[in-house]
Amino acid sequence: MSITLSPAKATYLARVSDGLVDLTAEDRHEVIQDLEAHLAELAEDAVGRTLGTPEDFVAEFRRSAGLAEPSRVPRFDRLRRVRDRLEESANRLAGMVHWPTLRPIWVWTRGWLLISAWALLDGQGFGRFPIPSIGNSPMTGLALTVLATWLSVWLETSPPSRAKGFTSRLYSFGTGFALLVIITNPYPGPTAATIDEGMFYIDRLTGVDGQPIENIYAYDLEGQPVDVLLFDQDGRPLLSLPTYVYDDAELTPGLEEIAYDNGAVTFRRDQFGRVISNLYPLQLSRYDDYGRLSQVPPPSLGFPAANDGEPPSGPGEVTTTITRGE
Amino acid sequence: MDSTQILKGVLDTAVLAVLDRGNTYGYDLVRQLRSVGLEEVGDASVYGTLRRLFGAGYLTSEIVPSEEGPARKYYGLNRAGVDLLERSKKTWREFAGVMDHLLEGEEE
Repeated sequence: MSITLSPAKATYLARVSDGLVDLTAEDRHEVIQDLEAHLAELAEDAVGRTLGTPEDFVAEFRRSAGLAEPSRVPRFDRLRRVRDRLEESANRLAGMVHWPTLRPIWVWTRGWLLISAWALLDGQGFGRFPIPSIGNSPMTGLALTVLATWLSVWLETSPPSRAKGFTSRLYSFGTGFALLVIITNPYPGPTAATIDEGMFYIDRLTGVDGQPIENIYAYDLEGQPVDVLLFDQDGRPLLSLPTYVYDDAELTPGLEEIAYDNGAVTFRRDQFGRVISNLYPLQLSRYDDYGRLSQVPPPSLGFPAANDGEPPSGPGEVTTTITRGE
Repeated sequence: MDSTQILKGVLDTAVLAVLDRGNTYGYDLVRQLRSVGLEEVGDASVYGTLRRLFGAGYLTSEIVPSEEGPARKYYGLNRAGVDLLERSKKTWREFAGVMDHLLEGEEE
Protein backbone atom coordinates (compact mmCIF):
# COMPACT_ATOMS: atom_id res chain seq x y z
CA MET A 1 0.00 0.00 0.00
CA SER A 2 1.34 3.41 -0.82
CA ILE A 3 0.52 6.42 1.29
CA THR A 4 0.86 10.10 0.80
CA LEU A 5 3.13 11.86 3.23
CA SER A 6 2.05 15.21 4.55
CA PRO A 7 3.73 18.25 2.95
CA ALA A 8 5.96 18.70 6.01
CA LYS A 9 7.08 15.07 5.94
CA ALA A 10 7.59 15.12 2.19
CA THR A 11 9.71 18.24 2.56
CA TYR A 12 11.72 16.57 5.31
CA LEU A 13 12.31 13.58 3.06
CA ALA A 14 13.36 15.79 0.14
CA ARG A 15 15.82 17.71 2.29
CA VAL A 16 17.39 14.52 3.60
CA SER A 17 17.65 13.33 0.00
CA ASP A 18 19.35 16.62 -0.91
CA GLY A 19 21.85 16.07 1.91
CA LEU A 20 22.81 12.69 0.52
CA VAL A 21 23.26 13.90 -3.02
CA ASP A 22 26.79 12.48 -3.16
CA LEU A 23 25.50 8.91 -2.76
CA THR A 24 24.58 6.83 -5.75
CA ALA A 25 20.93 6.96 -6.73
CA GLU A 26 20.49 3.38 -5.57
CA ASP A 27 22.05 4.00 -2.16
CA ARG A 28 20.05 7.15 -1.68
CA HIS A 29 16.88 5.34 -2.64
CA GLU A 30 17.60 2.71 0.01
CA VAL A 31 17.96 5.35 2.71
CA ILE A 32 14.92 7.29 1.58
CA GLN A 33 12.86 4.11 1.43
CA ASP A 34 13.68 3.37 5.07
CA LEU A 35 13.04 6.93 6.14
CA GLU A 36 9.75 7.17 4.28
CA ALA A 37 8.41 4.14 6.18
CA HIS A 38 9.78 5.64 9.39
CA LEU A 39 8.09 8.99 8.80
CA ALA A 40 4.82 7.27 8.08
CA GLU A 41 4.91 5.85 11.60
CA LEU A 42 5.52 9.20 13.27
CA ALA A 43 2.91 11.74 14.28
CA GLU A 44 3.17 15.05 12.47
CA ASP A 45 4.50 16.94 15.49
CA ALA A 46 6.93 14.18 16.43
CA VAL A 47 9.10 14.44 13.34
CA GLY A 48 11.30 17.31 14.45
CA ARG A 49 11.32 16.17 18.06
CA THR A 50 12.54 12.63 17.38
CA LEU A 51 14.56 13.05 14.20
CA GLY A 52 15.88 16.60 14.56
CA THR A 53 16.22 18.77 11.50
CA PRO A 54 16.88 17.08 8.15
CA GLU A 55 20.43 18.41 8.30
CA ASP A 56 20.89 16.91 11.80
CA PHE A 57 19.53 13.60 10.55
CA VAL A 58 21.90 13.57 7.59
CA ALA A 59 24.92 14.44 9.77
CA GLU A 60 24.11 11.73 12.30
CA PHE A 61 23.40 9.20 9.57
CA ARG A 62 26.70 9.96 7.88
CA ARG A 63 28.67 9.59 11.10
CA SER A 64 27.17 6.23 12.01
CA ALA A 65 27.27 4.92 8.45
CA GLY A 66 30.93 5.87 8.16
CA LEU A 67 30.30 8.19 5.23
CA ALA A 68 32.61 11.09 4.56
CA GLU A 69 31.20 14.57 4.30
CA PRO A 70 30.55 15.55 0.70
CA SER A 71 33.78 16.78 -0.83
CA ARG A 72 32.27 19.88 -2.30
CA VAL A 73 29.74 22.33 -1.04
CA PRO A 74 26.66 22.12 -3.23
CA ARG A 75 26.38 24.99 -5.63
CA PHE A 76 23.47 27.36 -5.26
CA ASP A 77 23.67 26.80 -1.52
CA ARG A 78 22.17 30.20 -0.78
CA LEU A 79 19.38 29.49 -3.23
CA ARG A 80 18.69 26.24 -1.44
CA ARG A 81 18.41 28.00 1.90
CA VAL A 82 15.94 30.47 0.43
CA ARG A 83 13.97 27.61 -1.05
CA ASP A 84 14.00 25.79 2.30
CA ARG A 85 12.68 28.86 4.07
CA LEU A 86 9.95 29.22 1.47
CA GLU A 87 9.01 25.58 1.90
CA GLU A 88 8.93 25.93 5.67
CA SER A 89 6.68 28.96 5.37
CA ALA A 90 4.44 27.09 2.94
CA ASN A 91 4.27 24.18 5.34
CA ARG A 92 3.38 26.44 8.24
CA LEU A 93 0.62 27.86 6.08
CA ALA A 94 -0.43 24.36 5.10
CA GLY A 95 -0.65 23.47 8.79
CA MET A 96 -3.38 26.07 9.20
CA VAL A 97 -5.75 24.15 6.98
CA HIS A 98 -6.79 20.53 7.05
CA TRP A 99 -4.48 19.20 4.35
CA PRO A 100 -5.58 15.56 4.33
CA THR A 101 -8.97 16.83 3.16
CA LEU A 102 -7.78 19.55 0.81
CA ARG A 103 -4.72 17.89 -0.69
CA PRO A 104 -6.60 15.59 -3.11
CA ILE A 105 -8.53 18.63 -4.35
CA TRP A 106 -5.25 20.48 -4.85
CA VAL A 107 -3.69 17.53 -6.67
CA TRP A 108 -6.65 17.12 -9.01
CA THR A 109 -7.13 20.80 -9.78
CA ARG A 110 -3.61 22.17 -10.14
CA GLY A 111 -3.33 20.86 -13.71
CA TRP A 112 -6.41 22.86 -14.62
CA LEU A 113 -5.02 25.91 -12.81
CA LEU A 114 -1.80 25.68 -14.76
CA ILE A 115 -3.44 25.43 -18.18
CA SER A 116 -6.06 28.07 -17.30
CA ALA A 117 -3.30 30.49 -16.36
CA TRP A 118 -1.60 29.75 -19.66
CA ALA A 119 -4.84 30.48 -21.50
CA LEU A 120 -5.29 33.74 -19.59
CA LEU A 121 -1.72 34.85 -20.20
CA ASP A 122 -2.12 34.01 -23.85
CA GLY A 123 -5.16 36.26 -23.93
CA GLN A 124 -7.59 33.50 -24.81
CA GLY A 125 -9.23 32.69 -21.50
CA PHE A 126 -11.97 30.11 -21.57
CA GLY A 127 -13.79 28.91 -24.65
CA ARG A 128 -16.60 27.57 -22.53
CA PHE A 129 -15.87 27.77 -18.84
CA PRO A 130 -14.20 25.84 -17.27
CA ILE A 131 -12.37 24.59 -20.37
CA PRO A 132 -9.38 26.81 -21.12
CA SER A 133 -8.76 27.67 -24.72
CA ILE A 134 -5.24 27.09 -26.04
CA GLY A 135 -4.30 27.92 -29.62
CA ASN A 136 -7.87 29.06 -30.20
CA SER A 137 -9.02 25.54 -29.43
CA PRO A 138 -10.93 24.41 -26.35
CA MET A 139 -10.12 20.81 -27.39
CA THR A 140 -6.40 21.53 -27.16
CA GLY A 141 -7.02 23.18 -23.80
CA LEU A 142 -8.97 20.17 -22.60
CA ALA A 143 -6.28 17.72 -23.79
CA LEU A 144 -3.53 19.72 -22.10
CA THR A 145 -5.59 19.94 -18.91
CA VAL A 146 -6.02 16.17 -18.86
CA LEU A 147 -2.27 15.72 -19.44
CA ALA A 148 -1.33 18.20 -16.71
CA THR A 149 -3.76 16.57 -14.28
CA TRP A 150 -2.31 13.16 -15.02
CA LEU A 151 1.20 14.48 -14.36
CA SER A 152 0.03 16.06 -11.09
CA VAL A 153 -1.51 12.80 -9.85
CA TRP A 154 1.51 10.80 -10.97
CA LEU A 155 3.86 13.12 -9.10
CA GLU A 156 1.74 12.67 -6.00
CA THR A 157 1.45 8.90 -6.08
CA SER A 158 4.73 7.62 -7.52
CA PRO A 159 7.64 6.66 -5.23
CA PRO A 160 9.91 9.54 -4.22
CA SER A 161 13.10 10.13 -6.16
CA ARG A 162 15.38 13.07 -6.66
CA ALA A 163 14.15 13.72 -10.20
CA LYS A 164 10.56 13.47 -9.05
CA GLY A 165 11.21 15.77 -6.12
CA PHE A 166 12.61 18.43 -8.43
CA THR A 167 9.75 18.04 -10.91
CA SER A 168 7.21 18.13 -8.13
CA ARG A 169 8.65 21.33 -6.69
CA LEU A 170 8.77 22.87 -10.16
CA TYR A 171 5.15 21.88 -10.69
CA SER A 172 4.10 23.35 -7.34
CA PHE A 173 5.98 26.57 -8.08
CA GLY A 174 4.31 26.77 -11.50
CA THR A 175 0.89 26.21 -9.97
CA GLY A 176 1.54 28.89 -7.37
CA PHE A 177 2.40 31.27 -10.18
CA ALA A 178 -0.71 30.14 -12.04
CA LEU A 179 -2.85 30.91 -9.00
CA LEU A 180 -1.31 34.35 -8.88
CA VAL A 181 -2.09 34.87 -12.57
CA ILE A 182 -5.68 33.73 -12.13
CA ILE A 183 -6.23 35.89 -9.06
CA THR A 184 -4.73 39.00 -10.62
CA ASN A 185 -5.96 38.06 -14.12
CA PRO A 186 -4.07 40.42 -16.42
CA TYR A 187 -6.46 39.56 -19.22
CA PRO A 188 -9.00 42.36 -19.73
CA GLY A 189 -11.87 39.92 -19.50
CA PRO A 190 -13.19 36.73 -20.97
CA THR A 191 -15.31 38.69 -23.41
CA ALA A 192 -12.60 40.73 -25.06
CA ALA A 193 -11.39 39.62 -28.44
CA THR A 194 -8.13 40.73 -29.94
CA ILE A 195 -7.78 41.46 -33.58
CA ASP A 196 -6.19 38.17 -34.66
CA GLU A 197 -9.04 36.11 -33.32
CA GLY A 198 -11.95 36.92 -35.53
CA MET A 199 -11.13 39.11 -38.45
CA PHE A 200 -11.26 36.78 -41.44
CA TYR A 201 -14.64 35.19 -41.33
CA ILE A 202 -16.93 38.13 -40.89
CA ASP A 203 -19.14 39.71 -43.45
CA ARG A 204 -19.59 43.33 -42.92
CA LEU A 205 -22.55 44.12 -40.69
CA THR A 206 -25.45 45.79 -42.43
CA GLY A 207 -28.59 47.46 -41.29
CA VAL A 208 -32.10 46.54 -42.44
CA ASP A 209 -31.65 48.86 -45.42
CA GLY A 210 -28.54 46.99 -46.54
CA GLN A 211 -26.24 49.84 -45.69
CA PRO A 212 -23.05 48.89 -43.86
CA ILE A 213 -22.98 49.43 -40.13
CA GLU A 214 -19.80 51.23 -39.26
CA ASN A 215 -20.28 51.75 -35.59
CA ILE A 216 -22.46 50.59 -32.74
CA TYR A 217 -23.53 52.66 -29.76
CA ALA A 218 -24.88 51.13 -26.58
CA TYR A 219 -26.62 52.78 -23.63
CA ASP A 220 -27.57 51.57 -20.19
CA LEU A 221 -31.08 51.74 -18.82
CA GLU A 222 -30.44 55.24 -17.58
CA GLY A 223 -29.58 56.30 -21.09
CA GLN A 224 -25.90 56.66 -20.36
CA PRO A 225 -23.49 55.58 -23.12
CA VAL A 226 -21.51 52.46 -22.27
CA ASP A 227 -18.60 50.59 -23.84
CA VAL A 228 -19.49 47.05 -24.82
CA LEU A 229 -17.78 43.98 -26.24
CA LEU A 230 -20.03 42.34 -28.79
CA PHE A 231 -20.19 38.70 -29.84
CA ASP A 232 -22.44 36.58 -31.99
CA GLN A 233 -24.23 33.39 -30.90
CA ASP A 234 -21.06 31.35 -31.32
CA GLY A 235 -18.92 33.66 -29.28
CA ARG A 236 -17.25 35.23 -32.29
CA PRO A 237 -16.47 38.92 -31.98
CA LEU A 238 -18.68 41.22 -34.05
CA LEU A 239 -16.63 43.40 -36.35
CA SER A 240 -18.17 46.25 -38.22
CA LEU A 241 -15.42 47.60 -40.50
CA PRO A 242 -14.00 46.25 -43.74
CA THR A 243 -11.44 43.52 -43.33
CA TYR A 244 -8.57 45.66 -44.62
CA VAL A 245 -8.96 47.95 -41.64
CA TYR A 246 -8.38 45.08 -39.28
CA ASP A 247 -5.53 43.87 -41.50
CA ASP A 248 -3.86 47.23 -41.10
CA ALA A 249 -4.53 47.15 -37.41
CA GLU A 250 -2.84 43.79 -37.13
CA LEU A 251 0.12 44.69 -39.32
CA THR A 252 0.81 47.94 -37.54
CA PRO A 253 0.34 47.14 -33.87
CA GLY A 254 1.92 50.38 -32.68
CA LEU A 255 -0.12 52.60 -34.93
CA GLU A 256 -2.91 54.44 -33.20
CA GLU A 257 -4.92 55.58 -36.18
CA ILE A 258 -5.71 53.36 -39.13
CA ALA A 259 -6.77 55.04 -42.39
CA TYR A 260 -10.25 54.07 -43.35
CA ASP A 261 -12.33 55.28 -46.33
CA ASN A 262 -12.44 59.03 -46.00
CA GLY A 263 -11.37 58.99 -42.40
CA ALA A 264 -9.60 56.94 -39.78
CA VAL A 265 -10.37 54.61 -36.93
CA THR A 266 -8.53 54.68 -33.65
CA PHE A 267 -8.61 51.30 -32.03
CA ARG A 268 -8.51 50.91 -28.32
CA ARG A 269 -5.99 48.39 -27.06
CA ASP A 270 -5.54 46.21 -24.02
CA GLN A 271 -2.57 46.52 -21.65
CA PHE A 272 -0.55 44.28 -23.95
CA GLY A 273 -1.00 46.65 -26.84
CA ARG A 274 -3.37 44.36 -28.71
CA VAL A 275 -6.28 45.81 -30.60
CA ILE A 276 -9.62 45.00 -29.01
CA SER A 277 -11.55 44.52 -32.20
CA ASN A 278 -15.09 44.29 -30.90
CA LEU A 279 -15.09 47.08 -28.35
CA TYR A 280 -17.82 49.56 -29.23
CA PRO A 281 -18.32 52.32 -29.99
CA LEU A 282 -15.34 52.48 -32.34
CA GLN A 283 -13.56 55.80 -32.37
CA LEU A 284 -14.14 56.93 -35.96
CA SER A 285 -12.92 60.16 -37.51
CA ARG A 286 -13.85 61.81 -40.78
CA TYR A 287 -12.22 64.47 -42.91
CA ASP A 288 -14.29 67.59 -43.01
CA ASP A 289 -14.61 69.94 -45.95
CA TYR A 290 -11.33 71.60 -44.99
CA GLY A 291 -9.39 68.32 -44.90
CA ARG A 292 -9.26 68.26 -41.12
CA LEU A 293 -9.83 65.03 -39.26
CA SER A 294 -12.52 65.25 -36.61
CA GLN A 295 -14.18 62.63 -34.52
CA VAL A 296 -17.57 61.36 -35.66
CA PRO A 297 -20.00 62.22 -32.86
CA PRO A 298 -22.52 59.70 -31.56
CA PRO A 299 -26.04 59.88 -32.99
CA SER A 300 -28.42 62.08 -31.16
CA LEU A 301 -31.00 59.90 -29.46
CA GLY A 302 -34.07 60.53 -27.39
CA PHE A 303 -33.14 59.04 -24.08
CA PRO A 304 -34.74 61.07 -21.31
CA ALA A 305 -31.77 60.71 -18.95
CA ALA A 306 -29.23 61.47 -21.62
CA ASN A 307 -31.04 64.49 -22.92
CA ASP A 308 -32.48 65.80 -19.66
CA GLY A 309 -35.99 65.09 -20.76
CA GLU A 310 -35.78 67.20 -23.89
CA PRO A 311 -37.72 65.84 -26.82
CA PRO A 312 -35.80 64.18 -29.63
CA SER A 313 -34.71 66.51 -32.33
CA GLY A 314 -34.13 66.10 -35.99
CA PRO A 315 -35.60 63.87 -38.61
CA GLY A 316 -34.97 60.15 -38.61
CA GLU A 317 -33.89 60.07 -35.01
CA VAL A 318 -35.05 57.29 -32.77
CA THR A 319 -37.13 57.74 -29.69
CA THR A 320 -37.04 54.82 -27.36
CA THR A 321 -39.08 54.32 -24.23
CA ILE A 322 -37.37 52.08 -21.75
CA THR A 323 -39.24 50.47 -18.91
CA ARG A 324 -37.59 48.32 -16.29
CA GLY A 325 -38.76 44.72 -16.14
CA GLU A 326 -40.15 43.35 -12.89
CA MET B 1 28.72 9.80 32.87
CA ASP B 2 27.15 10.45 29.50
CA SER B 3 25.96 7.08 28.21
CA THR B 4 25.65 8.35 24.66
CA GLN B 5 29.41 8.08 24.20
CA ILE B 6 29.36 4.45 25.31
CA LEU B 7 26.34 3.81 23.13
CA LYS B 8 28.22 4.95 20.07
CA GLY B 9 30.80 2.27 20.69
CA VAL B 10 28.34 -0.53 21.18
CA LEU B 11 25.51 0.41 18.84
CA ASP B 12 26.64 -2.17 16.28
CA THR B 13 26.38 -4.89 18.90
CA ALA B 14 23.03 -3.61 20.13
CA VAL B 15 21.59 -3.60 16.61
CA LEU B 16 22.93 -7.07 15.91
CA ALA B 17 21.46 -8.31 19.20
CA VAL B 18 17.98 -7.00 18.32
CA LEU B 19 18.17 -8.57 14.87
CA ASP B 20 19.22 -11.83 16.46
CA ARG B 21 15.77 -11.95 18.06
CA GLY B 22 14.16 -11.83 14.63
CA ASN B 23 14.02 -9.84 11.40
CA THR B 24 12.61 -6.38 11.75
CA TYR B 25 12.47 -2.93 10.12
CA GLY B 26 14.14 0.32 11.11
CA TYR B 27 11.37 1.96 13.05
CA ASP B 28 10.67 -1.18 15.08
CA LEU B 29 14.37 -1.67 15.71
CA VAL B 30 14.62 1.82 17.18
CA ARG B 31 11.56 1.12 19.30
CA GLN B 32 13.01 -2.14 20.61
CA LEU B 33 16.30 -0.50 21.51
CA ARG B 34 14.46 2.18 23.46
CA SER B 35 12.23 -0.33 25.17
CA VAL B 36 15.25 -2.09 26.69
CA GLY B 37 16.56 1.18 28.08
CA LEU B 38 18.67 2.69 25.31
CA GLU B 39 16.65 5.87 25.33
CA GLU B 40 19.41 8.00 23.90
CA VAL B 41 19.76 6.07 20.67
CA GLY B 42 19.27 8.31 17.66
CA ASP B 43 17.05 7.20 14.81
CA ALA B 44 19.55 8.36 12.22
CA SER B 45 22.36 6.51 14.02
CA VAL B 46 20.40 3.28 13.80
CA TYR B 47 19.78 3.73 10.08
CA GLY B 48 23.43 4.62 9.53
CA THR B 49 24.50 1.53 11.44
CA LEU B 50 22.11 -0.65 9.46
CA ARG B 51 23.48 0.72 6.23
CA ARG B 52 27.08 0.17 7.27
CA LEU B 53 26.45 -3.39 8.51
CA PHE B 54 24.44 -4.20 5.40
CA GLY B 55 27.16 -2.76 3.17
CA ALA B 56 29.76 -4.83 4.97
CA GLY B 57 27.80 -7.99 4.25
CA TYR B 58 26.48 -8.83 7.73
CA LEU B 59 22.77 -8.35 7.07
CA THR B 60 20.03 -9.48 4.76
CA SER B 61 17.18 -7.23 3.71
CA GLU B 62 13.76 -7.87 2.30
CA ILE B 63 11.00 -5.50 1.23
CA VAL B 64 7.69 -6.44 2.82
CA PRO B 65 4.47 -4.69 1.78
CA SER B 66 2.54 -3.16 4.64
CA GLU B 67 -1.20 -2.73 5.05
CA GLU B 68 -0.70 0.38 7.14
CA GLY B 69 1.74 2.39 5.07
CA PRO B 70 4.63 2.20 2.65
CA ALA B 71 6.52 -1.06 2.18
CA ARG B 72 8.99 -1.78 4.98
CA LYS B 73 12.50 -3.07 4.60
CA TYR B 74 13.10 -5.89 7.03
CA TYR B 75 16.68 -6.54 8.07
CA GLY B 76 18.03 -9.81 9.42
CA LEU B 77 21.34 -11.47 10.28
CA ASN B 78 23.11 -13.71 7.81
CA ARG B 79 25.85 -16.17 8.80
CA ALA B 80 28.51 -13.47 8.84
CA GLY B 81 26.22 -11.30 10.99
CA VAL B 82 25.71 -14.09 13.52
CA ASP B 83 29.48 -14.64 13.69
CA LEU B 84 30.07 -10.92 14.17
CA LEU B 85 27.51 -10.85 16.97
CA GLU B 86 29.26 -13.74 18.72
CA ARG B 87 32.61 -11.98 18.48
CA SER B 88 31.06 -8.73 19.68
CA LYS B 89 29.48 -10.44 22.67
CA LYS B 90 32.84 -11.94 23.61
CA THR B 91 34.57 -8.59 23.26
CA TRP B 92 31.88 -6.83 25.27
CA ARG B 93 31.95 -9.36 28.08
CA GLU B 94 35.73 -9.17 28.34
CA PHE B 95 35.59 -5.40 28.32
CA ALA B 96 32.74 -5.25 30.83
CA GLY B 97 34.59 -7.72 33.07
CA VAL B 98 37.69 -5.57 33.02
CA MET B 99 35.66 -2.46 33.78
CA ASP B 100 33.74 -4.20 36.57
CA HIS B 101 36.97 -5.39 38.06
CA LEU B 102 38.47 -1.96 37.80
CA LEU B 103 35.52 -0.19 39.31
CA GLU B 104 35.10 -2.73 42.10
CA GLY B 105 38.79 -2.26 42.95
CA GLU B 106 38.24 1.47 43.24
CA GLU B 107 35.31 0.99 45.57
CA GLU B 108 37.38 -1.19 47.98
